Formats: sequence, structure tokens, C-alpha cells
Amino acid sequence: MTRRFALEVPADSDYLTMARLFVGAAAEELGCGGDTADDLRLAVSEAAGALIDGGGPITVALSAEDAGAAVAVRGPGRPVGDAGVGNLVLGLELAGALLGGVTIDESESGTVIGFSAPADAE
Amino acid sequence: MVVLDGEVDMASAPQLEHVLGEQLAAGAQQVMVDLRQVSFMDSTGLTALFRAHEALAAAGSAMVVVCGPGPVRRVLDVSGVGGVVPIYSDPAESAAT
Repeated sequence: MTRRFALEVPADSDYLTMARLFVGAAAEELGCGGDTADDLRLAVSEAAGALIDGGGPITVALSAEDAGAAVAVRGPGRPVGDAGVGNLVLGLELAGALLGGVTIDESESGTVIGFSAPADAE
Repeated sequence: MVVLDGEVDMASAPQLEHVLGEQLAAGAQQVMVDLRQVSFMDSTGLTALFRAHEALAAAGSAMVVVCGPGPVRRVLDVSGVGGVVPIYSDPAESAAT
């Protein structure tokens, strides 16, 4: 059985702190601690922030994969409004630089921003 | 000196921009932004720092950042902020240079 943790929050920047707390705890449960957990907190915060303008709810889900965790941040809208494109690019570039890659999947049902994180070395 | 604590994200970055704008308006020659008590900073915080740096530079002033090791320093390093804004580990190090 795949271990999976998910949190749903309103599309409100006041809930980003809650999302980060959740991600830190879930990442630890999935064996991703230390710097990796910090990187995941940043990446999820950037992704959720990018989706806020598109409305809510926003779902953050972490699941175990072969050697770490897969993370998906979902929202019903498109990522960010025109005014925030600069921050979207910077934010997701940061996440990509820290975690080694970010995917953005847009469809009629919304947007999923995904990334993976390695588990701590044994 | 501007001393921050807590988290800097899209909810709180406008406050940071406001405080740094006050320093500019007050005619500060050098603004030291102390991030040692900040536990988290995202791209909106970085953008606020960049904007303040550019505005201060345009006014003939300077900005330096004080930040110890940890996740915020990691973000500053990865983003390349250190290539634009001097970053020191403590205020004494800043004063010595």
C-alpha cells in the first residue's frame, strides 16, 4: 500500500504556513528530512502561492515513491495572474534548482504542479 | 538596521517592502537587513529584497543582508542574491569589511 498524505486548504496566502507545516511533517514521515524537507516546504509554498489566484481549494499531496517522495500541488485554476508571472518563474525556478525538476500539468480541471524529493541517505 | 523574524512569504512580503521603503524614504545611507531570526523565505521575499536593493542603489545608498546558515541562507545562495547583495553571517563581519 502506498503511503500518502494530503491536505486541502483555501486559496488564501494566510494558509501557506499551514501547508508548509504539513509538508514538513509528511516529508519526515516519508524519510525526507533535513535540507530536503526545507526544500519541499519552499517548493510547495511557491506552487501553492502560484495557484492561489486561480481559486481553491488547493490540495497538497505527498506520496512515497521508490527512493523518496512525490509531491503534487493541485488547484482548479491556472497558475498565477499576469501580475505575478515574475514571481511564478522565480519561485518555480528556485524549487527546480533545489529539487531537480518541476512539472506543470494544466488541463480543463485545473493545474497540477509536481516535483520529487529524495529520501535521506541511510 | 531592519531586524526580521518569523516567515517571509507572499502574505508577509508586502510588510517587508513597506519597511524597506521607509528606510529609503528616511534617506538611510546603508540598510542592514538582519534575517538571522527568519525561519522561511520564498521568492516574494527575495523579490522584496531585490527591489529594495535596486531602489537604494538608485538613491546612492546600499543594502547588506545578515543571515546565518539554514534554509533562508540556502535560498539566498541558490537564487544568486549573494552575487548582487552582500551577505554576512553576523553584523560584526559586515562592520569589518
